[in-house]
Amino acid sequence: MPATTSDRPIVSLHGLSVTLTGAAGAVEILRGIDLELSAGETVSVVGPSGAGKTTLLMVIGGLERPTGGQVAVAGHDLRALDEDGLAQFRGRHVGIVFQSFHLIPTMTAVENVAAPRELAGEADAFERARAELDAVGLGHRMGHYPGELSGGEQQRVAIARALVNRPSLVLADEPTGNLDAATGAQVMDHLFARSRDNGATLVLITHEARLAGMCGRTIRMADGRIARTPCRP
Amino acid sequence: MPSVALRFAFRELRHGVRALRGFGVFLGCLALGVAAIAGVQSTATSIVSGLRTDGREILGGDLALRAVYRELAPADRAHLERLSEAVTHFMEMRTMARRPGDDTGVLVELKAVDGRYPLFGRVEARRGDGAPVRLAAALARTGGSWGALVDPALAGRLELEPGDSLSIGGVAFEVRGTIEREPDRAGSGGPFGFWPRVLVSLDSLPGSNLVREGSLVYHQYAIRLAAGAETGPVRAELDERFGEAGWGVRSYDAAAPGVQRMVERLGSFLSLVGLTALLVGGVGVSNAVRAWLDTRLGVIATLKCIGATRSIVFSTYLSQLTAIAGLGVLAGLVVGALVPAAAVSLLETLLPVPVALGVYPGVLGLAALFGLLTAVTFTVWPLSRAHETPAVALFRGAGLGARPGRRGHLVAALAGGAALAALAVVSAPNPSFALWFIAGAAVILLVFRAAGWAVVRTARAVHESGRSDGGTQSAGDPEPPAATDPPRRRNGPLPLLGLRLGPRLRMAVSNLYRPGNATADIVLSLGLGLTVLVAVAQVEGNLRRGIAESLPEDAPAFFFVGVEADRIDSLEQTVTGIEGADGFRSVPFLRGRIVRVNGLDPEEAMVDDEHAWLIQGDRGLSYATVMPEGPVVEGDWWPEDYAGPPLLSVDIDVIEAFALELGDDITLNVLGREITAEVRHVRRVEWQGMQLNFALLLSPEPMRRAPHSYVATVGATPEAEARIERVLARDFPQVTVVRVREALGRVAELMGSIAAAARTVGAITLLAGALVLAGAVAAGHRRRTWESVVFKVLGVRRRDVAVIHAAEFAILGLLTGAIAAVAGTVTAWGVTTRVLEQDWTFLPGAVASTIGFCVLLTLGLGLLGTWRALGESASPYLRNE
Repeated sequence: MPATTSDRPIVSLHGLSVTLTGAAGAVEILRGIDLELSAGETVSVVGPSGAGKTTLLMVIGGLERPTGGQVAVAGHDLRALDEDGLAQFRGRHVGIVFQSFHLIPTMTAVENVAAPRELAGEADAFERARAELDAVGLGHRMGHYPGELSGGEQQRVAIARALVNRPSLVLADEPTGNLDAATGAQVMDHLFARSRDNGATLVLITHEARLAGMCGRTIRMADGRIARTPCRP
Repeated sequence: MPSVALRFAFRELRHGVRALRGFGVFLGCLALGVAAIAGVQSTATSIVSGLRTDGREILGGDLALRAVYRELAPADRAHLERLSEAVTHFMEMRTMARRPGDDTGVLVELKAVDGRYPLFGRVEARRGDGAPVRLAAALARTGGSWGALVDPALAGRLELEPGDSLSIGGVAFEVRGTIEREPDRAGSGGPFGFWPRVLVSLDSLPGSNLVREGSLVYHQYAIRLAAGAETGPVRAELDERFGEAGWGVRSYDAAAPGVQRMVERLGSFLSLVGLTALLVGGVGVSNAVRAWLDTRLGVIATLKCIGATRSIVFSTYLSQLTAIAGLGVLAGLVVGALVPAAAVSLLETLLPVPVALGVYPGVLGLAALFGLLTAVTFTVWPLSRAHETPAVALFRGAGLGARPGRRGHLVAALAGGAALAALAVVSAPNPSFALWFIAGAAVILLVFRAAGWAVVRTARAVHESGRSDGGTQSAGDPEPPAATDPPRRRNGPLPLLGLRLGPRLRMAVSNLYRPGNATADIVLSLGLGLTVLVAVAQVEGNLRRGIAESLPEDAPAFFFVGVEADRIDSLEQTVTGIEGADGFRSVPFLRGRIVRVNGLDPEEAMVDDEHAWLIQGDRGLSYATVMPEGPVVEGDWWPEDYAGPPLLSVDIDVIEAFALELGDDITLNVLGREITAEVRHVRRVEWQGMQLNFALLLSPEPMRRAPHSYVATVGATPEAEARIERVLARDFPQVTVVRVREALGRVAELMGSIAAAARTVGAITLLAGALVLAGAVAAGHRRRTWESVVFKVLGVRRRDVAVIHAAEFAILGLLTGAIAAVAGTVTAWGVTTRVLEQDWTFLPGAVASTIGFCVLLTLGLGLLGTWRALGESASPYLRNE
């Protein structure tokens, strides 16, 4: 599924390294990553467990601070932002889709979707949320709580939430991991379609070769490094 | 607060009861503490409002004049009549009442009223058949007898029926009913309200031997002003005309200042005890908030992922918690507001005052403020730690553990605590007492926090000591033998504490210090409540002992009051002639009040309010030629034949009250005459000895020439007491006989009522502690269930697991009880010896029962909570995991 891309980099990583210190000592999670992603690009990140895929995603999303190197996303130097600055950056520029959905159980579907826009201080939060839910086929489930929705429906609500602020970057961490094959395929169709419609760059962590193949580019990671030169199909 | 935070908070709260799941202990702790404070304060306010609302009834008039010994001169009486619409006069005195022919007398408070009494309200009385009795008819002379209305307690004690005779002061009164309500009973300015009341007509007294020169008779003139007349100017005029002459003037807006003062002080003390319940509850609030926020960490991380800043997260949850705290506070206010209504019948039995039931917004507002401040103080810090949860936690579960909060929030929590203390101090009628109480409570809180920490450390040390010693393994031992322990540990030096613990006991001890243990919280929360109870029990026990059991051997058996000067020698001869009577002593007795100190108004001159009793109304005083026994502080006693200007020997309290020095002047008003005397001699009066002694003792002149009576004391064997009463009833019917043991018993009864109130509020503190314990057990339920599942898989019997849990809670209860016993005993010792200045005796019974109760409480609640865990089936847990 080719995406419309531009050469303007939305993500630019140079010499990125992340070292975490635990009780057992320091562990190098990422080691000297150089990577650029263009606006509108769809990228899959694959590799064995412990390769550093999730950490790479977290650094790009401003959830993890690098211990070395440069990180620029959507024109922001993430190392210069404090925690609240990063939260606001995520609210405006990044949409995240989790394997376990992470919807807020006390909010209805439409409220979950509207929440990022409300946090951004936009007055049209609910109007936009309803449009996003319509777009993922959940116009009839807006007033339902997450506990009243199926896994596939919850993930579609999460996709709508990730896209409600028209982010320039969508990060998805194994979004079909908790879904059966048919539902997973349906959800991915929505994720790709909505990202493309919004012109967002999609970065997808997956263990499924089929899903990776749907992306414009695949990055293989091993032992904290990009194992193979990123290729475009 | 950002509006988006309020919206998010509302979305969580709108689920009603579901949103409150996990908040049981939180709500219970707040509601209990607020209810205690609101209940105590509402009750006190109901009483004080009753005093104010019914001030005219309680005082008996718009204004009242009161003096001891003398009536108003005819010209003064006429002046009073001119000023007012109506005047009523009554006399009050203590005297003996007995059935004619019966030698056993009962001390009563006699009130002789005129035909206009009462000016406000009415006396309610009933005959034996329950029919109401009219006052005028009941007291009138009919069929040759004057009538009397009596207190039901007196009727019960002397088995009086309407129509029976009651002999008082040589007059046989016909009992015509029992008093149900005397409107101005609480307003008695003199020291009345202690013994049963008898109401008679003022016209009946001239025929009795009750009123003689020097008799201790209080006269009160109450006046009713014309409708719409201002009391202020009339009062000013009365003050000017009669104040100098020794008449006390009171107006209806302060009808019973003594009762009001007592109620306000007791209310304040009990409110402070209630505040400790709230503080203990604060621990439960903090635990509950922590446990609840643990379930919200995922949502917090999610919010951060979608762009929420920390302040929005903090505001969202703070507003939720404040709203839920509001519910708890509201529940407490409702219960607290209902307390006076529930207690009204008991209160009206204990206090002769009307209770003005109502909702008092100021009081409830204060209690709500205490509750909300407590909630904020104990909520901010766990919330601060939770709101630091990073968004990254959603990806790998990292960061869901404890994180440090922000320093600003810690400061806010401490400021909340300081505001609580400040509010308690500012709202108390006696701020310095409140300050000491708060400081003491804070120290005890810190002691228990440290004790909790010490218990955890000791448990670890004991456990490791037992492990290094090998312990004793047995079948069903949940832990395998320490076969893999390095030889150095098994064969090394003796363990630190040298204790050998069985495997079950060792596991119980290890539960006390394991991660997630609630040991410190339980020690703190239960310990504070138990400390209050131990302290109350020990102080009360010591006071009772001080009053009843520790009477010196030479303490008198009787006080004789109102002995006429010309009959004191005759009384002495009669009493000392009775076998078993011993140590007769008598002293002149007058009443007077301090009107100036070094020329200043005594209220202005007073520097230590602790001794305010010295200037509250009349005081008993005497004169002497010979120095009484007891320690001398400073100064010289006057020669036996001294006849110069008046000199004073005073108790050290008088010196401290006014910061006096030898040579300073005190002016007394005695029998309407002012006497200025120089302070020449200072004594330390040992009041506990029950000997005749006075804070103010004058040189003989000119007092010996003033009309006065005598008081006397005599010791007696128990057998002689009855004989003395019989002889006194026959030969000295006008003398008031106070049996010391009976009076002390009455004091002990009153003290018991106050202690019961303190115990009740202390029990609320303990209940708050029990709630915290229940919350801690509930919070540990999942861990215990999982443990029990693992033990079952390993083949351990359910009984063994139950034994481990029982041992854990029993140890915890035993330690907490023991620490509380020590803290409570130290507190009681301080209060008894330093504040009450009484001798101290350690009472082991109170301590043993506290420890026993604590063990039962922790064991009971603990096992109740873990029983369910033991019954859980293992398979669902194993499948899910």
